[in-house]
Amino acid sequence: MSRRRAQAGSALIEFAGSLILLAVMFAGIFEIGYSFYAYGVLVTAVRAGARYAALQPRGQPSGAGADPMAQAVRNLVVYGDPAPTDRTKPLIAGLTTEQVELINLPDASTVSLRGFQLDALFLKVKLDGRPTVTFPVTAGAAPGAAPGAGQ
Amino acid sequence: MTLLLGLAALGIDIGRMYVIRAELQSFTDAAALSAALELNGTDAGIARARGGAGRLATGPHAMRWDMGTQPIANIATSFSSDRANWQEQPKQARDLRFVRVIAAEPVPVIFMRIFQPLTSATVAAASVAAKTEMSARLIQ
Repeated sequence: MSRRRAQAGSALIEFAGSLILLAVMFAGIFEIGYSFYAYGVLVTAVRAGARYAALQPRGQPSGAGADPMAQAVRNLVVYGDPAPTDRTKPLIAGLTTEQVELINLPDASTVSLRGFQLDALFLKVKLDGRPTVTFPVTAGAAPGAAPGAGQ
Repeated sequence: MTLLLGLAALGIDIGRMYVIRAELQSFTDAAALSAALELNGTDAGIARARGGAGRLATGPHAMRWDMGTQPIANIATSFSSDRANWQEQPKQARDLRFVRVIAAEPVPVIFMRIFQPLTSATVAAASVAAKTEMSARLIQ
């Protein structure tokens, strides 16, 4: 066997070894990147839910499961729409409306996630009580002060 | 190879900063609204406005940063009557209708220090809210 052929074999083994290392690294980078992306989406969704809730007129106390306003808030957080037509695609895979917690006080609305597990390939991030966003109630706003003014 | 990994790592640091900015922006939006609701042209209103902004960063439902793990500690609240001159300690409370809340947190960087001798970078968010007749609204 010539020397060149012998070296070709060891190059193959080296390549295989480094491929494993590379695959692990890229998987890790993907996981972290996806977690950040997903968390960013969740923060925005929870913020939208809290703002939406704070703009609703204060009526019955929260907590009742059948409360249509609470359901609209949960839908907004999970599907990006208070009355979604398609309930098969949450903004982030695995998120359900039961995992959205809404606390309505007379002067503020708090939305947070309870018991959601962010699934990024191998890594699982448990999100319990985060993200949390509280908005003060501005339901008495004049007609010109539209919901979601600003960003 | 080193360059490739360096860039990927940089992406992680920057991605984290974007998440933190989204968190801080949610906080400042809510804090500015809370503060603006308290404005009533008196010094007591100014004091309550300042407290209202800070209250959202404390308690069992506090808003936090760094994927919901760190308390928001660096909050600056300032007031204005014209959105041009901002005062942290206003002397005359009468005409102040605008509140600006700035949250700026030092984010420890992990990979960026390969390129620069820096251990943390400040990520900030700002919101301005205006007191209206019955309520308050976000304007910026």
